[in-house]
Amino acid sequence: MIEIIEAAALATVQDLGRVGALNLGVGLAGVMDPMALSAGNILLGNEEGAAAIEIPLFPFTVRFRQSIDFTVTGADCAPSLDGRPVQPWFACRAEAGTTLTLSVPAAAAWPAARAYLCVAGGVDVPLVLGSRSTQLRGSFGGHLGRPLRNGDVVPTGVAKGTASGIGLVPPSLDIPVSVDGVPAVRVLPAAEYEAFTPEAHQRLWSCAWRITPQSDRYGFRLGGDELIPTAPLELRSHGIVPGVIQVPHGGQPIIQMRDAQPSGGYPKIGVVIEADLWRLGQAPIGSRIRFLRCTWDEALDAGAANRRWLEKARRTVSILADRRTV
Amino acid sequence: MGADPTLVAQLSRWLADTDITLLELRGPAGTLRLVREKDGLREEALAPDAAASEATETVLAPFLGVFLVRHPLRLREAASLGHRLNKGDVIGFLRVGPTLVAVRSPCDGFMQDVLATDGATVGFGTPLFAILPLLPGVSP
Amino acid sequence: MTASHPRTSLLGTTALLFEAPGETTLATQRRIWALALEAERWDSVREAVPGMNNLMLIFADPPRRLDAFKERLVEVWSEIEPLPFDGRCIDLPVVYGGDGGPHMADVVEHTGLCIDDIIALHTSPTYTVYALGSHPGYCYLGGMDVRIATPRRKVPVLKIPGGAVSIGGSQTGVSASAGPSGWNTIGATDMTFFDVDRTPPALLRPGDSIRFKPVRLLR
Repeated sequence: MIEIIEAAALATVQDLGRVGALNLGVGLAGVMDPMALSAGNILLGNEEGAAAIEIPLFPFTVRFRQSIDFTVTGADCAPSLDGRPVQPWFACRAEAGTTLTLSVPAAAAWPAARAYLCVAGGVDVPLVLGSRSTQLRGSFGGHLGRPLRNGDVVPTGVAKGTASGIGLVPPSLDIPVSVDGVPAVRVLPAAEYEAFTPEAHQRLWSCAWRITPQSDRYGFRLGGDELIPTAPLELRSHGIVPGVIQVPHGGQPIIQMRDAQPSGGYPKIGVVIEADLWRLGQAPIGSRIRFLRCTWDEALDAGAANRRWLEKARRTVSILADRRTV
Repeated sequence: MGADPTLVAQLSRWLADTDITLLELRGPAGTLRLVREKDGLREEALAPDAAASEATETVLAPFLGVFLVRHPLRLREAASLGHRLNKGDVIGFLRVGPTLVAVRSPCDGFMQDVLATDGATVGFGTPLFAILPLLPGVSP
Repeated sequence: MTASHPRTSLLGTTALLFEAPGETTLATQRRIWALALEAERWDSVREAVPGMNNLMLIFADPPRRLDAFKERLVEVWSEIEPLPFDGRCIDLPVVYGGDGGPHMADVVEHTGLCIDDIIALHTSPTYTVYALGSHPGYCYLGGMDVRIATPRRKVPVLKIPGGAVSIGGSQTGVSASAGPSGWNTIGATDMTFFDVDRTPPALLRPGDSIRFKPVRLLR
């Protein structure tokens, strides 16, 4: 059991998302940074998709009611256990009754917005429609279908594997993507790409887009040059997915994120490829990102690179963890 | 002990304004340490034979890997020179592929020296750090 | 958007969007449902999600040979027969106007019709559920009389309650839970459209239909 002592707003229980319920109008939800979740679970010997707590705002303080292995991945929020520093992206042991405090992320080699508190055995809230992720619209999944509050007690599962006691280098440092020194995400043009002006195309690929404060798990509103279609577009409602870059009438793009509604009708100029959504999900408010045009094959290769990184992490962690216990 | 009290007081004042945690004065009459603690400065006088026989703890690489003085996410070293250490504190890292193994201080003491180059690949048993242990019986 | 040929486009590496040509009709939608059932059986498809005369196919594993996938889809479309109708129809009691229908006045103003006419036009059709989307349990409905079409609001309302009956452009719908909306809310119903503890959780599915039954008018 984990007791929430101090939760800043919008901390939620998430796993890799709720797949297969789109025909009920139920979107994906799930972590904004799936690489950080999977890495944390690998360090703890969990299944890769075990649920964790996603923390977008700080400080965040919990008390462990029993001894448990845990790790804090994602943004480096200077985790400390009963006042003693613990390393980010490391599996650590917490004794019963100890208090873990996460602070506002400081300047780091990888500026990131969200931290993940993963525990051995995972956060054991009930599966709803196949997932433990919090679905805010409709209020189900996660912990009582809502963000965590002070005093909440979150159940943890039975640890199946062995926590490694070691750490991982965040994949953002291992497999970075940037253009002219600005963090980048790869984009495939979408259905209405050709309906935008040549200026809009040029701007899309050359602007360093600012993540505005109106950005959250639903969508990232970007600040930058206006993207204008050659003529007004009327679309019929259709399914959309996280990563879709919609351009409403004002010309300022919005990228759909994990809590976005699963259908829409605004013109789509492009879609951030699934393999780079974790990079975007960690972009802090006020930071800038570039869009990097890619081909279908490059997009699939990017997904394969993520899987290779996780596979290598799993293999190396298990080898080193074995040597430590000998 | 033979150390000039005026000099010690002056050094103490000067030390208080810095982030140096350990100042060691060695002379024929022995060694004087000025140690900065949370609640102020502490003097520690060592007899000459004690200082001479005092062994520096050398921390060796437990694996083959890339030696790192800071966590890859961090801009600062895990433990800078002169840093006061508790046994078990993380003082560096070895990187093996995507994984990190923490290098920990074997004792209470002070970071005296970094013996390997940050970013260099080191073999098993390569000296990484020299730690100046706190004297037995001297509790911080 | 109308075109003479079906159109396919990518939603990144996550999905492919298939858009049927022509005006939005129930006949086309029945073929979309049939295409969804067919495509869902393909190994590379994890989920087939109908929209309004279009279909989103979520990849189980995105195919390297995308052109072959698209060609197969268009080929199947050209031959597919409309899905037989087997939906059920439910009556939704609606209280029109008042606190539960705060934008009725805007619909009156835009259409130039009186409230009684608006209610008569809104309650006369049987609306077919074309698709679910937007939020859990929400139904996209076809069949609204264009005479009561009213543009979406310039400033969306931050939170309209579940059960809100509203008009957005030439469509009408009922919110399944509280949330933001740019549509004009003209009434309210008590029906629960989505309950995760129910099997299935959604009250309606594509092919079902709705009739609005006026229970009261609050002026």
